[in-house]
Amino acid sequence: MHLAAALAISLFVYLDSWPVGQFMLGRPVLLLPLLGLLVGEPLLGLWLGLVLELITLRSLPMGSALPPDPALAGAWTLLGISRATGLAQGNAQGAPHWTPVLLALLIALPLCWAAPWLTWAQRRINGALWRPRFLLAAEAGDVRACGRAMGATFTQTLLLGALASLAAILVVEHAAPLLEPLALRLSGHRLAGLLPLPWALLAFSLGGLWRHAAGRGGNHRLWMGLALGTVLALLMAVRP
Amino acid sequence: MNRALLRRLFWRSLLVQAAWNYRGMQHLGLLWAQLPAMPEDPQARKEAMARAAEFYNAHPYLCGYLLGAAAKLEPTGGGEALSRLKKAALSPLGAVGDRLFWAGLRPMAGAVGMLALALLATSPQTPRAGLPLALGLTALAVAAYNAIHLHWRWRALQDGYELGLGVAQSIRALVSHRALAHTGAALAVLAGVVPPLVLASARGDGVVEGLGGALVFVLAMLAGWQLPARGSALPLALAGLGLMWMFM
Repeated sequence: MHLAAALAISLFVYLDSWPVGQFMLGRPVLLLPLLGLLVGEPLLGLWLGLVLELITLRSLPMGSALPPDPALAGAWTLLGISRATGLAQGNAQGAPHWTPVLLALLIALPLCWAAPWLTWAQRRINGALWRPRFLLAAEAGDVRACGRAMGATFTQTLLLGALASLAAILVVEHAAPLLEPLALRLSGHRLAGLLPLPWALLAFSLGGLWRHAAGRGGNHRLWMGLALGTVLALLMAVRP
Repeated sequence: MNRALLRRLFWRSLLVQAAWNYRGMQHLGLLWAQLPAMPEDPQARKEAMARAAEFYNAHPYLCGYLLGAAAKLEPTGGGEALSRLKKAALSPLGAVGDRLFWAGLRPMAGAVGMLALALLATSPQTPRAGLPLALGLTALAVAAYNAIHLHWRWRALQDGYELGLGVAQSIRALVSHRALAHTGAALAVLAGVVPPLVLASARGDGVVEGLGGALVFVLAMLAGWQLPARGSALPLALAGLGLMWMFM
């Protein structure tokens, strides 16, 4: 994928995460399978989206809190990996099929916790650089100056987002081939069949979702859902 | 009702967080969103803009209540009362919005999306062939979320504009809104449905192999349930898993 297209996608995800609208279009469970399709790695996108969604489902952007950002981290990871050259392409080499997922997770998980620093920096800049301009405009009752201040804030937000995305995509692009041997080693370990990381993470996060749901809706509804899910799963198992 | 003005306020309300900062939080976004509703008189406008620039932080989807009320009150000299309303409404707007959207609808839409992906994985078709269906279901969940969220934004704006100071009653009614109870219940049912389907999706693909894999899955799920929701639980668990993996 061309770097400009990768940057445009990253910016779209970043803007949806907090400065504009928050339409949830950047949720990993939707965004990453779509991005996977776009970069020719649909299953990788699907797995990464599923696992990152589960890990961060309980992290809420309440007040001034900056929770992990799985959408931006996942997007940077997928876009960077799709641009990386020299990857052994786990499946093609006959490696266990979760090797690419492990590689993507090794990169995406630290990025989940690193990406909110971009938001933190932007909010600091807003306070130091743009807030005085807005307040001066308000003091003078100048509507046009206030509009110009918003334009400048938004443009600078876009520039910082583009710069951070460029750096992140390039880092992932160059780090992926270096980390691939570790992913191969982990997936080739004798315990890998017993303890696949994506599944353990998935289960861990589902447990967290359970805890959250039980606290909000009552245990009996949780068990009702569990029974319903079991019936559905059994029906699928016996389906010809 | 001036619908053209409401539409302008609505589009601007989407950027209420665009100039978020640690001193006044969403105040600059709210000030900018309120600009089309500022009084014509220069002195009144100065005072209205100063009031709009006061500290503000609530749920971004619910800022319409105050924007609408400001559009009604500022041109008629009700700015001081609006300022008091704004201070009183911050906490309920933040608390209800967080519970309803961030902790309710958003994880629910995420869980529906995951359910779609789990259904895809259990599909007798190859996952690649079923991907459009799963993505369609996920997109439907996101579309439903946004239909509710945008409807709420617009309704809040209309309520604020129609009721003026009386919007305080609407904000008070939000605290006991039945949607809060329904989202909690629906989330609990969904959280129950997803695990068996995800577990079932593992069969036959060699990822979770036999009883040992299922046991690890269940243990990890119990760990996720019992470990604290915040803090170091996840990093600790990840570190533990990684160490086990590398050294055992």
